[in-house]
Amino acid sequence: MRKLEHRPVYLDNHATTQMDQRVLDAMLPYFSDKFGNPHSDSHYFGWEASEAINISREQIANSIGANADEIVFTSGATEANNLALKGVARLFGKKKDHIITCVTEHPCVLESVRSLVDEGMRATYLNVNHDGLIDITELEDFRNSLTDIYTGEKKKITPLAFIIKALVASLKKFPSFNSSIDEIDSGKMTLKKYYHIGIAVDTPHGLMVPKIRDANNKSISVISKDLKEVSDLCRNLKIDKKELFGGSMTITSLGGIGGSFFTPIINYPEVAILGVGKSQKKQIFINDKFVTRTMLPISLSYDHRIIDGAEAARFNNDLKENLGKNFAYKLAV
Amino acid sequence: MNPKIYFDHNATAPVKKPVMDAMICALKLCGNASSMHSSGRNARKLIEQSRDRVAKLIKTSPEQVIFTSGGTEANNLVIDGINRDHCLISAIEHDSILQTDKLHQKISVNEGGCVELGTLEKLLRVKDTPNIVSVMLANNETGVIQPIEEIVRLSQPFDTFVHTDAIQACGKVNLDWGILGVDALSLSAHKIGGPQGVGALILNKKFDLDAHFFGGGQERSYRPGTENVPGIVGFGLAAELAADLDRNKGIELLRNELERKILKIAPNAVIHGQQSQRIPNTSCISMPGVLSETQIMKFDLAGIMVSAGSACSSGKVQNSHVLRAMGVKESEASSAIRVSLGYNNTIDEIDYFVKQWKKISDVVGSGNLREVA
Repeated sequence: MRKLEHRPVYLDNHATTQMDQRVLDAMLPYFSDKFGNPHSDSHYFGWEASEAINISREQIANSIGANADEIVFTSGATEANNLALKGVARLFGKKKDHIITCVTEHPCVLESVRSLVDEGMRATYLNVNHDGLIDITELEDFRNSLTDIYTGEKKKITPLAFIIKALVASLKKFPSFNSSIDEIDSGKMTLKKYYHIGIAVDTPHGLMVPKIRDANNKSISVISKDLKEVSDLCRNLKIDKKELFGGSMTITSLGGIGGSFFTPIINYPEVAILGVGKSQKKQIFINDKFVTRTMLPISLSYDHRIIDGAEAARFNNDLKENLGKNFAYKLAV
Repeated sequence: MNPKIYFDHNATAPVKKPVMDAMICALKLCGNASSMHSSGRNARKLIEQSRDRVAKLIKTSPEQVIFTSGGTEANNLVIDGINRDHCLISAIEHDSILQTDKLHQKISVNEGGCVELGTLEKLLRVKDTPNIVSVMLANNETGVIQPIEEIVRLSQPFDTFVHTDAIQACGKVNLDWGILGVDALSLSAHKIGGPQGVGALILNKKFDLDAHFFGGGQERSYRPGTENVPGIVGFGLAAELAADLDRNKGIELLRNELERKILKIAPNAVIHGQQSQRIPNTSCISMPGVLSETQIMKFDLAGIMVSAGSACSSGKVQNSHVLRAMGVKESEASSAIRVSLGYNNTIDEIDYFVKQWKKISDVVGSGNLREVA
């Protein structure tokens, strides 16, 4: 008998997974005694098979919070994706002829979309966000260590204040992110000289985007105070309407709600928006070892007419540096 | 307690024991046949072995075998996928062929349930564009075997693509790709003691096909999607076992005995297609004066499982399109049931069935007949 250590290690569970013994046990009766054709509704064997299918339908529906009558069994996911995309597209015909997908989809989606394009549909392929995990371990350690020098109490500075400061530094380096496209059709864009950072605030009255004006001239603690003030003003509907216009670039943060990567929608006429997720402790492989680091997921959306992908990637990297290990130096300069 | 007698093998047949064992082994293995590592290669090997076995059953080369999710998909794939616009299909085809969106004309059948070659020839002559001809090898309701070789011979001068749905014939008659001469042929595993959910299209490699799905390029891109490895393994072994046609002789004896006994007790009973050449396990019997649904209910209470027409249309209370095409009277068609036998059935079961048949006929049938009279 072969020794156990010679048995190969299977690390390809995205290709296929080992069947659970309980699943196998559940399947076996349907290969032996309960072999009926679920479509034979004239006799017991057919009913038995049909009942089994209905139970499975229930189970699958329950597992994803759907209704059983919304489940259509297929021969596999490739068929399901083909069926969903082509079925829906052909059903709508000319009425809805634009399909939006993503470049990293499985071939069964991309190829289906390609065939729909052959049939006359329009397709938009979204790019994935640039790698947006920022290591903010040192920054968080620093932030949490802040105390009031007089009272010795812990100081509460929101991480968003640091992000605003970092964003300003990156905007200085990448001026095209600090622009507007009001008159793009006439070939005009406006490059801004100011750094008014928009902050998306979730209020009971809807989403508002007040600005932190001249963030480049403000200290991190002032920005933190300002942030609290403007968001309170928004929540109480006390904000001056003027405060909602004339920004450089917007930050939308899911930090308080939770979430990682998402697709923020650009706040027109601005040309870029930074989505900030909730930071998480993750095991990161550094210098041949796994270490626990605090990682902040960010998602950058940008207007491709002004900013191209490479520039966006460089912008992201710059932001990463500004919030990374040497944040103190980067944000001070 | 009533016995459980399964006389509906044309709907689905029990999985054979060795097939089940092979499938359990495959189910316990873990491997995506498209993966490059040894688990994946192992799964690939199993699939290719099954492809060989299926090819061997119909005496063709394995590269012409395309695995599908079953007979319905194989039928759809070939009819939709072949680049020809006009189909000539027999009036007794399965719904998976009959319901094609393509322009189609039906070839009539004679009262024996056989395709009328004269009609086919006429239809072929009318159309000068390349056609698809699709005629099943054996009918699922009556078991009547169709003259495929003749059909191929007639079609050849017209540059016609000939497909046959051999799902019911497989394992019951000798299938030889070379002798049949068709361009495509559909098979299903669960009619020959394999699992449900797997089948195959055998396609002459000189033809190309438009695929239904797009994806990972499996099955030469004609049928992408991660292969159903356990299912295909079961299909392969079932195909190998189905090559042993001798066991059909016993089934045929049972079927003939059943029909003889029924006709003896009820000379006015009708066995549809009896005058034609049939696959050995199928009998389509009309019990005068008793509706099919009533019979099925009564038989079910007696522990006997039969069906009215094919499983796919049995739920709907409508007369079989097959019998209608054969010109069977409405009253006879509405009182027909299908008995389809398998390896496990015994002469005792046949006798029990005949006894129950007589009982139902006596109790329900005579009453109804009197009313009619």
